[in-house]
Amino acid sequence: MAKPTKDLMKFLKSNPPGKQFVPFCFISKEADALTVFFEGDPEYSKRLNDHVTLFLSLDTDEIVGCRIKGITDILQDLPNYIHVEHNGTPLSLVFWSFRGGAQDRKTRDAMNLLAREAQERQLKLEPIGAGG
Amino acid sequence: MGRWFISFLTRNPDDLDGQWEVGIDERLYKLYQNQGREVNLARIVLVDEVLSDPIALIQGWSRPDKEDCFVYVGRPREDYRSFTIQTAAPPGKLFLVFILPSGSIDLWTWRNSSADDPDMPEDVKGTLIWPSQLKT
Repeated sequence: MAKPTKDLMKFLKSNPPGKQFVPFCFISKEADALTVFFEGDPEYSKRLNDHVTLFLSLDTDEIVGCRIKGITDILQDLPNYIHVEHNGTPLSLVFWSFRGGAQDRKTRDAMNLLAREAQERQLKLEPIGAGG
Repeated sequence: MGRWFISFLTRNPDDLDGQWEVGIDERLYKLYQNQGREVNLARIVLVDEVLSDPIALIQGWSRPDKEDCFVYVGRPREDYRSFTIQTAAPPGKLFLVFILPSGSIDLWTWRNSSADDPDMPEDVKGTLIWPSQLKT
C-alpha cells in the first residue's frame, strides 16, 4: 500500500488550517457544483438524488453539508421567481428550489434541514466564478 | 509555483499505461484553510495514496455534461480526521477522488462501497475504464 510521502505531510503542516471552523459555501464553475459545509466534522458522502449529494458525519450520520450539482442553471433561473439581492443570494433559496419537486419524504426532510441550517448561518452565494 | 498548489502523478485515463499530472488548485486549498476544514486538508494524504495506488478508475460523474470527468477509487487503511488524529478507515467505505478534465481535483471523500461489489462505490454510475477486466 502506498504511504504518503513525508514531504507532503510536511507541506500540509506548513500550511495549516485556521483554528476555528467557519461554515461556508462555494461554487466551482468548472464542476458546475455548489459545495456547502455547515460543520467541521469528518464526513462521508451519500448521493441523495441526481442533483444532491449529502455530506454526513462519520460519527453521527447527521448532515454536515452537501453538494448541489448543476448549480449554474438553478442560479440563472432564480431571478425569474424571486428578487435576488445584490449582496448575494441566500443559500436557503437553492434548497427551496429542490423542495418543491421532492417526490419522497427523505428528500423533503433533507432539503428542509439544509435550508434551515443555511438560514440559521445566514450563508449567501457569491456570484459564479468567485469560488474555487 | 506551478499549475497546482499540490500536484500528483496518477494513471492517465487516455493512456492507461502512462501518467498525467493532476492537482489541487490554490484557491480550493486556501478556502479549506481559511474556513478551518482541517479534515479536508489532512485527507490530502489519502488523495495521494489513492492516486498512487487506485483500485478503480471510473469515467463520468453520473450526470449530463460530466462524462469527461473521472473518479479515482481507493481503499486506504487509515483515515485522517486532522493532522494529528489518525483512525482506522471507516468500515465498508472507499475513498473517492473526483477529477475534472483539466486535471483539477474537485472533491475527495469517503463513500459507501456498493452492495453488489465491495471494490466499487455506491451510486457512481460512470464507466469503469481501469482495471478493464473487472467490469464492462
